[in-house]
Formats: sequence, structure tokens, C-alpha cells
Amino acid sequence: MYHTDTNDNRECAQMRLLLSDYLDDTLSARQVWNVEKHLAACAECAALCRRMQATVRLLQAAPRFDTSDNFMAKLHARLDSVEPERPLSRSRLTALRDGWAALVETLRQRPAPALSLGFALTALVALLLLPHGGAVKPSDLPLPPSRPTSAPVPIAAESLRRSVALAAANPLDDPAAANLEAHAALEDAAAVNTDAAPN
Amino acid sequence: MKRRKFSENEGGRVRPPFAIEAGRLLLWRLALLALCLTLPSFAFGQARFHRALRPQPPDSRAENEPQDPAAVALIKLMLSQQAAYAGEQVTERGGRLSRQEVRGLKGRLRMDFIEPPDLAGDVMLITHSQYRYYHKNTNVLDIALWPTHLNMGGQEKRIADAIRQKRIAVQKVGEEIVAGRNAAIVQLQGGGRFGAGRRFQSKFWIDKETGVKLGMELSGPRGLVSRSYFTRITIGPAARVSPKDFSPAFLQGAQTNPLFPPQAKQLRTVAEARPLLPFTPLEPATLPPGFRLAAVWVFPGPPQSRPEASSVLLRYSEGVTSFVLYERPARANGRAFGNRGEGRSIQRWQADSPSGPLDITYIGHLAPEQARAVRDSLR
Repeated sequence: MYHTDTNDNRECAQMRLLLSDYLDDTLSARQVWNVEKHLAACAECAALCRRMQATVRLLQAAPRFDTSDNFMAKLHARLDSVEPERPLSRSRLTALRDGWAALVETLRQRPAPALSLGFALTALVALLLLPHGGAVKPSDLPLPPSRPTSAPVPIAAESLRRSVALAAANPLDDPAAANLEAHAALEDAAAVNTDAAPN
Repeated sequence: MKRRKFSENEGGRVRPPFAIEAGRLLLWRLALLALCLTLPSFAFGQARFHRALRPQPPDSRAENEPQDPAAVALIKLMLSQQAAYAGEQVTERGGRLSRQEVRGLKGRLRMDFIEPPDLAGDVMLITHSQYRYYHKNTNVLDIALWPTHLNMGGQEKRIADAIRQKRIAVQKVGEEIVAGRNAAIVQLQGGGRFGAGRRFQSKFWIDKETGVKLGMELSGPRGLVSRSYFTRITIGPAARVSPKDFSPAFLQGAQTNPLFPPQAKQLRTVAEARPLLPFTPLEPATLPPGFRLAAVWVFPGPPQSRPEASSVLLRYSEGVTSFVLYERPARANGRAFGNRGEGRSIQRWQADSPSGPLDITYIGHLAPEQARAVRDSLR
């Protein structure tokens, strides 16, 4: 039978839409016959079918477990329980009670920190009760650990480009985001005219 | 001597049988308070306290818990999707924003960058076996040909294995409409679902009908890292995507830059890389939970070049995300420097190795303390 290129493409497109169902064995006998006839004649679609089959086999090899009858009910119940609380205008007393309940629960689950908290509170009470030499000036307090200055980073462009390429090779990564980040780092590097040089 | 009784009143004050000085009384009260505060919480959590102190065997109940079959099916659909699609995607990372015109067909992907202005005109092309990136400003085309295990077929197997072995936990967490399409939200968590501490996780918005990835979010220990999502999309023949879109003519005249040239060697361990390098590479003695060395690339540099032309790339992964250490000898006339960009996702510093100082570049999204632990444990 004679086919034009357009007809071939159209047939390929139609058959590829059926491939997934074909592999899942959910097509009618006539559709199966049509798909198999096409696969016998079209090497590209046959190769695609083999690749899909290999993927399906891989994923089928993953262990499967039946869910219990009440799985959906339990799932919904759990999902309901993880719904974020709506910001209600609670009374102060309710907020205090909830806060206390949360603290008690945390203390129950984490005894070691609770022990430390107990000692810390004791020390705090002792500090409040015991007389001391004078008020502590802000300048006497230790400084909080300061975040290092975020100086722009000079980076070898090549390493960044490789890192974007590696992100592109990973279907679970986001190459657009990796590229944006690499671009930002190079921009920073250019801005300070640093000593970085490509590899 | 007359002994005072408890009921005895002296000047209007009742005194206890054992009189205690004021200072000692305060100490007693403090001790009592400490006991009141610590004993109940200690008693409540005693069992857990012991549990926390001892190394615990893996939670067999958790290990036996199956992966969410709906989520596994959706990931399978996403990885094997063949539909043609075209649309506009927005990417946010670190307060910056990028927009791209995206086209996909049979596993191939093309992104034409529209924003930011410096990236406008750049094109990224990803196919099963190679990656190309065209820099419009410099007319340079970066090319990476994937080794067989890194091509998409290899990656699908890697992901399927990781899901089966539960190194990646998958779960369907909801549904949403993205760019007018019904999307299922699937969450992937690296390092296992039941590991301690916060892990990296990705969320994918997957078109329920075709498997097209409509959006994704990557979160690290400190929260959201990046987010990409379609603002409009057409799926199917109406998208008018042609195979020719993935071989644009303007690439012909570009100057090519092979990112992983043929002389670059990919190895499995740092020990294998050592004899191939003119310097002693360093590797971290401490890795964040779940991470392991995924690959080592050695870039030997041109023949008779200086040692600093050689470099090594160490890639560590925990399934969902990865970080990279890039090492090369410090340049002879280069200035020594400490860590630059601490707390950022890209950092650079110098470290001493037995062969001399090395320039180290870190690229990743570890929490600052994790990145610092990696840096400080380089040996």
C-alpha cells in the first residue's frame, strides 16, 4: 500500500496515542490488530514501543501492595488532619491554652530538651531572684553569630555550565532554575571583576 | 533551754520547728522548682529518652510501608510522556525570575529564554542523549553528550530503582489546576521517607491526561529553593511543535564548547581519579544524611598544559537533589582567599591538599551548617 509522508506521520501519531493502552492490554481486538500491523511496518514506532515496554517493566518490577478497604477513608482523614489551621481570631485564653498544650506535648516527646529547659528555667528564676551587680548593658551582651557578608562569588564559568548540564540530565531537577542561578553567580562575579578565570 | 513549738508566736510570726536562713531557703525553693519542672517531663518521656540515646534499627514497619501507587503511576506517566506541548514557563530562584518559551516533543525539550534581559535569546535544548545551550551574547554553543547511564533511559531506570528501593519516597499530595490543565501534585522526598531530619523534596505538578510536567518546586532544609510553572500551555497537535524545532538553523554558525570533552573521564571513586590528576583531590569525610558520591569527572586539560588547567568534579546525590564540588589547583599567581559566599548556593574557597592549595567551588542547596561541615571535612 502506498503512503505519503503526511499519511505516515498521521498514522504514526494515531498509533502512538494507542501505544500506552496497547501495552496496558486495554484495546479492542481490532485496535490491537491495527497497532501491531503498524508496528510491523514502522521501525520508529516499534522502537518507541520497545522503550515504553522497558519503562513499564521497570516500574512494574517495583513492589505493589493492595490497599485495605478503608484506605481512602483513612487517607482523607489523614489529609484532613494535616490541613493548615485557618487563622481564626482566637481569644487570648484559647491561644494560651493551645500554646501550653503544644509545649506539654513537645516536652513529652523530647525529654532531653525538656530537662535542659527545666534547668534553664531554674537558672532564669535564680537570676531574677538573686541580686546582681547592676543592669546588663546591651554592649555587654554577646553579639549574635553574624551571617558572613555575602560577597559576590567569583566562579569559573565552566563549572557552572557543567552544573546546569548535569541538572538538565536529571528529570527530577529544574534546568531552568539551575541556569538562572548560574547566570546570577556569573553576574555577581563580573560585577566585582574578580580573579576568577574559566577552567 | 525551752524548746520552741511550731504553734509558738513570736512577735506575730509563726516560726517553723527548724529555722532556715533566708539564703538557704531560697536555694531550697530553687531546687524544689527545678525538680517540679524536670521530673514530670522526664517521667513522661522516659521511654523515648532511652530510645533517643541508643542507635535504633531501621523502622521495619516504615520500611514495609508501600509507596503510594497513584504517585508511582504519575511519575511513570511523567517520565514516559511523549505528547507535544508548547507554552510559557516562569522560573523563580533566589529572588530572581526567568521566563521561557518552552516546547516539548517525544521527550525532547527546548527552552527559549525571554527574561532576564541578559538571558534573552539564549536557547536550551535537551534530548535523550545530549544537552545543548546556545549563548546568544557570545554565539557559543555548550554541548554535553551524555554517557549511556546519564541519558534519559538510564535516568528513568535510576529513578525507578530509587523508588523501588525507597531511597526516594513518592506520594500524591493533591490536585490543582495549572495553566488551565488538571494537575496532580506528586511529592518526592530524597533520603527515604522515614529518615531523621528535614530532607530535600521536590513537588511536581503533572498533567493527569498526558503526563506533561506543568510545574515543579524544589525545597531544601531551609525551605523553598526554586519553582517553575507554566503560565500558559497548549498540549497536542494544536501546539504545532515540529521535530525541526529541536535542530534550529542558527546553531550551525555557533562556536561549540564541549562541556564534557572526550578526554574527560567519568569515574566512580576519588581513588580512581587520583592517578589521572596532577594534584591530590580532596573529598569530604562528612556528608549530609542520605548523600553519597554519584560520579567523579576528571578533566585533564590540554597536553603539556599547566596543572591548574586540570580539574575534577565530584557530584554527590541523595536521589532528589545533588551538590557538586569542583576542584583545581590554585593558580600560582592567584591570591589566597577564604570562603566566599558562605550561606549561598554557590561558594568558593581555597583548601590545602598534600599537593598544594586547591580552589574549591561548591554548588548546591545544603543548609549552611551542612555545607560548612562538608567544607570543614575535606581531606
